[in-house]
Amino acid sequence: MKLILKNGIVYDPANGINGERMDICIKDGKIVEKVRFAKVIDVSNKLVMPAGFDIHSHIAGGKVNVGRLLRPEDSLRRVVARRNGLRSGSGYSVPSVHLIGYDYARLGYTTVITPAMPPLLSRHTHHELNEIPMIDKAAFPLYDGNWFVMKYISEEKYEELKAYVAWLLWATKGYSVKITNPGGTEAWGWRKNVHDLDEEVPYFGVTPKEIITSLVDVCNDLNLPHSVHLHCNCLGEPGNYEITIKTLQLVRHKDFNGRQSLHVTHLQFHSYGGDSWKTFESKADEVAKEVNKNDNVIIDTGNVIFGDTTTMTADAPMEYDLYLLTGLKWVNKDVELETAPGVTPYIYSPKVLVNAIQWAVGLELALLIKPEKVILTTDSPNGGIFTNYPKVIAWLMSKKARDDMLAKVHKSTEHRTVLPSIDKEYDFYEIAMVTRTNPAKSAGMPNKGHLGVGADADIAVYDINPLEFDPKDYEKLEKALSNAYLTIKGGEIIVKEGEIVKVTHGRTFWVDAMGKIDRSLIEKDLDYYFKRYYSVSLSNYVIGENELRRSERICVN
Amino acid sequence: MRELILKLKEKPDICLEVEGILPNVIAEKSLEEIENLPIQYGNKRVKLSEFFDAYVEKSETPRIIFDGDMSRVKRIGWKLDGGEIVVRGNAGMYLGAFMREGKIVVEGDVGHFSALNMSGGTIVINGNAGNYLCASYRGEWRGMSGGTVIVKGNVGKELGSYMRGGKIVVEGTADEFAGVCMRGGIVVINRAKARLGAGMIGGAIVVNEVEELLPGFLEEGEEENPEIEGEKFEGRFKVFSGDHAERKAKGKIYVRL
Ligand SMILES: [Zn+2]
Repeated sequence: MKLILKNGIVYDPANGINGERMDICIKDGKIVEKVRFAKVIDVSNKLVMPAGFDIHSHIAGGKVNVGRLLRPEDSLRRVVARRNGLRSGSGYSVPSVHLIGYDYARLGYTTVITPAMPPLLSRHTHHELNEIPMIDKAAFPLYDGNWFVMKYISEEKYEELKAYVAWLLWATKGYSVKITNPGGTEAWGWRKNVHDLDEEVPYFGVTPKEIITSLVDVCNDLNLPHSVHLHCNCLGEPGNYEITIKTLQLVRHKDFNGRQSLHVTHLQFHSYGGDSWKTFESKADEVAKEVNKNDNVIIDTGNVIFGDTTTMTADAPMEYDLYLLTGLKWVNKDVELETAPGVTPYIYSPKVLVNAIQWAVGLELALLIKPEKVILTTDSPNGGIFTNYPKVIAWLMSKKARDDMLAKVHKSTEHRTVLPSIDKEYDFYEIAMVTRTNPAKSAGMPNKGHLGVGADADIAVYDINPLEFDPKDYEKLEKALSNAYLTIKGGEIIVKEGEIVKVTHGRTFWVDAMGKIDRSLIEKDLDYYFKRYYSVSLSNYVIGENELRRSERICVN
Repeated sequence: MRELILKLKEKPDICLEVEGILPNVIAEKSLEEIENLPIQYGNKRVKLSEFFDAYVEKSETPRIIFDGDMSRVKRIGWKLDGGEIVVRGNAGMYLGAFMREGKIVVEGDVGHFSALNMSGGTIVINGNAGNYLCASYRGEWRGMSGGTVIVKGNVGKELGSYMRGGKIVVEGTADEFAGVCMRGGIVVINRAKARLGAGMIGGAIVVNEVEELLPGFLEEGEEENPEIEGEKFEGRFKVFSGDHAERKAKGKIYVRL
């Protein structure tokens, strides 16, 4: 299909294009210089950006499904009937599989990474990803409480560790290394957690610091497209900003060619001061300072949206602590030899001071950190479901939107945060960076997140004139961003004026680094661990490439 | 004001669902428009007139009368927001579920899940009710929050689960787990079977007779003519607090002596 998007107002930070009126030419699913005999679509005075890229959103796998099972009442909150060839579905904070794809497409997003796949549950995750329509996707397998990882680190067998990391990516068809509460999820098996980078994990004798730095080195040595994707220790705890800053400092001198050495995720949940819930306060400014100084780090925000949501992380001790606070239903799960996830509902209330501070912290981080290092997420659905991104964008682009919200939240918020004193307002160029350019760059997908020649023709057009945008009119912005005027995926129009017009199935990206390692180094250990400990056999554990609906293998060398 | 009489033509072989057939909806509509209102028949949308003969009459209040055996008609008064519904016969599942305002009177029995998550209004059931009367929706920990339900007959299991407010009166027998996980409100029962108030942390249950009480309930003494949740009760009661299997449980069970 050949297309020309005519006269749109284009924001493409990767190519330095800042609100220029120009045409975008598309041919065979790619952006091209010129195209002849193409269908021309007039998008005069409309906002044109690369399609959105969500680097951290829980859209598939064990936790998401447990969330659905745990919350039938969430299903009742949103019921969508079958129509126009679209499947029916239900669920507000944990929507059913097809709705996830439709919702992202309507938002103008076409690439999404599910960030916490327990390796043992990767088959389930991929089969679910296969069914999510519209978007390209990838999954980060979890390495945090992994017995192989901790064994090789404690025995200082670096080459074996490298081999195992690459092997597990291949075996699970994963994209990069995710670490959640390093050491803490294994300690949870003994009813413990870790609260310091130097605290030892029971029976393994390794520390969170060793797990993080070893895996950062491995990812860099293997030249993986994405770095380590880290959910720090002590999520959600008062005073956790200190361990967060110490963690960021671990990679200050770990330079890597062309990308960050560490992606720190949902930073909002890790930037708190105080020593109890009573003295809870924002330390976003301190954390932002360290991020700005540190060339090897990129972050995503994990903004909070007020309302009822379902939290789900591979951080079981944290989910248990959350349950103790709320008394609501909860689930913990032990994934043998690997990790321990948990799920529980949560309601962020503007009248609860802690929640209001969390809301402010997410925005402070985005406003205080250089936009080149920021990626916008809500850690969906943990901070709120992803369909609320336009709300977050409105808060970033409009001081008035923030002030209007501040007027509705707990009064002490202004004393515990610096948000009221921040005047910065994002422009469309910066919004395009934090929702398109940066996530694609951080993920290491060179054909995503920009509109240069050769890029995938994944484009979003919104019915708003960015040159005439008045930050006071933020509700209009929110509306325009919630329903894309056009979403183009791989050169095909999939959404038109907020309605899905074509159902497509995207690719699943995974990374093959097997060429860089010597598998024989770990063969014996694999054999032994699977025979001795796992409840599945090694041959049943490995996901075949043919199990992916549309496999996109990224070979590294 | 007007009254709509809906006579069931014949008992359907699969259940009908009449969500949306409400007094406030029909108030401004012509008979023809009413006859064309959609209802659900299995997986098909059909017109109201396919299964019901409709008549309109003058009335003091907006009112719908379902005439006939409605035991295969589900969701009568679903999300009712005012006006009155009368069922001259039995009613199917989900009667008055999510109801906010208004009144429903049923001459016969009602099916399971009736008055689910109700927040206001009144329901009178002259026959028996199924399981989960006044319960919370599956998985929901924020159950019934207001309104009054009176049952002349017996009720099934898990009456008023996760109830937070409002009042339920059962003149017959309540099956097991009545008032399970209650947080507030009051449930008055003539005879209750076992596991009464299991997991309750608030609100009150008043019974004339109970099969047995769970070990999580502690005897607090006796009271004469007590005031319970703002209402005076005559007679002597033994008072229990619980269910102490839960943290900070403040529920009360009053057993008449
Ligand atoms: Zn997450």
